[in-house]
Amino acid sequence: MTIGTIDEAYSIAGGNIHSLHSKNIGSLVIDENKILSANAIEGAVIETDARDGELFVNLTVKAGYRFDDPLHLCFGVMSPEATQRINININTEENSKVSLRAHCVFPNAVDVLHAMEARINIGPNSEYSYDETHYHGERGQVRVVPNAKITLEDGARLYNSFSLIQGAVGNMKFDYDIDCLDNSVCHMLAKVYGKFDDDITIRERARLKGANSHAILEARMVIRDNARTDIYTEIIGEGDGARGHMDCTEIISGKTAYAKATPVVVVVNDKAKITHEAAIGSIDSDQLNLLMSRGLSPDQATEIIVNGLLK
Amino acid sequence: MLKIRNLTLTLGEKKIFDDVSLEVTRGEIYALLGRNGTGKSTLAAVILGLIKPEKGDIYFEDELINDLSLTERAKRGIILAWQKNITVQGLTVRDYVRVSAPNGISDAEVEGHLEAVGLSCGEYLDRVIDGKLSGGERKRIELASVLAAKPKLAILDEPDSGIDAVSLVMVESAIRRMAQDGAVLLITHTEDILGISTRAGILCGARVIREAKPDAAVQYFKNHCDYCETVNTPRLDEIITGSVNP
Ligand SMILES: Nc1ncnc2c1ncn2[C@@H]1O[C@H](COP(=O)(O)OP(=O)(O)O)[C@@H](O)[C@H]1O
Ligand SMILES: [Mg+2]
Repeated sequence: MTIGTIDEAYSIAGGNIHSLHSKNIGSLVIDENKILSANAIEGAVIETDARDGELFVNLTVKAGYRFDDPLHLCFGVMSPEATQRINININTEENSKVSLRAHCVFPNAVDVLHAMEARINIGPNSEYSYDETHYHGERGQVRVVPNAKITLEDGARLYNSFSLIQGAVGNMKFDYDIDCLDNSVCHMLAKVYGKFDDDITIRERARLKGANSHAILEARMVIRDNARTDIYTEIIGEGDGARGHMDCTEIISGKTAYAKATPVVVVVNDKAKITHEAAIGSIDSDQLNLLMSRGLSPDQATEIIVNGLLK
Repeated sequence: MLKIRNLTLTLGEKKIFDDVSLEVTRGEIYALLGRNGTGKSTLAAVILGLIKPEKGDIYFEDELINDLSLTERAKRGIILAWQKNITVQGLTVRDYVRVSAPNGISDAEVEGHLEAVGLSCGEYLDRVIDGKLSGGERKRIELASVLAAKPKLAILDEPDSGIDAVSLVMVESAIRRMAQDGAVLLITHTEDILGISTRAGILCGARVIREAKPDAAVQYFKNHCDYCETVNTPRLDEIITGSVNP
């Protein structure tokens, strides 16, 4: 089945189409390397430029502007074979607050590459949350390669949530570098359901440079079939009172799935503390038994446990 | 309703059940009393089919259920309130009570079951079930979920542990109602909740010693069961019939 319009793809991925077409809601819709629509609102400046097969986007949230409603982004590739290159700068100025809800949809992909270079600067005491949902079609014939350099300035807060639960993933390689200055707080969460031949690599490095800076790097994965995950997280504690935690939970099923988690702790200041937890295994039998003891079948019980982890 | 016949089970080196028979009839609250580690939870696991005994038969409503799966036994109406807290990540109280009723349940019913164990819906319905809840709260959520499952035989494994006196009154009346609609096997290592039982048995030295009255069972339990690990305790029916001396 071919998905015809970006609106259709957007709603399959869980987006509310209304938010892409309302004048009062900030939004940006991209198909391949073309801007389909850009709706800036007061306090949120969106500049775009397309050249050399690459799309340049600058988003600035002006100082003091605090948005309670999210801005909506849709990065789509509707054709089965295409390359999408996005070069994005995001800057939230002092004391601003914004949340972005992004949907990346490649519903008809047979051979699609989505490459993203992002530089994100979260200004002093500003709050930035980024909620990204992907849909790569049911077979996931996509390569997704996002690289991001993120800086949290003094007192900045970042909440980043990535989810790819419906359909398959394809080949995905994240590389995120995060610098945290004084009193900043960073929370990264990735939730992925890998299947078939999905190949998922996540690299996240958070450098806690500032005093009392905090970072949580969290991954929740479910993988089966021939899927493989390689989750590398690293937190470097440099500042006085820096605190970091890495948490990776993966449910793996089948003989040929492969899961690897590598949490790396680096501490160069005796006033900093970094911890980690990683658990990879099959579905917990106690949890299965609990649900089956209420009359659920093994499959129904498994589904509830998997959905709970990825919720 | 439930008949266990000649159950024998050894786990590792330890003989847990030595030819145990036990019967729970409709309408009764049968209390199974025993010290820690005597095998009460293991008996629940055997009734659910999670542990296969070396010997013995289990009948439920006159059907031999030895070969039924856990799911099938639950569908027949055998529902366990688990002793240990098991966390399914992301599940809220509402979700858990709902999944416990695979045939569907209305919001009003979910709320009714929570209120029945003294949990106010406003506070608990949308809370995620995790380590932030106290032991007593989790016990009561577990009991609410058992109510939602509409058990014919409710097996309650230490349902009173961690529950305060006020809530316990509500929990006890919820248990009484379960017995009206079926039967209850009430597992406990303390005497506190025995007042609501109609009959009590003691699990001791790999055997079940039966008593007609809970009071008398408690008396016997206090006097004898500290030595069970070392003394091969005779069955009470054997004592009564005079075939052995206590
Ligand atoms: N899988 C097992 N393998 C070996 N021993 C076990 C196993 N499960 C339980 N046991 C032992 O069986 C005994 C009974 O345990 P349990 O039924 O949990 O006791 P209770 O519920 O009466 O406190 C304990 O000594 C326990 O250590
Ligand atoms: Mg026990």
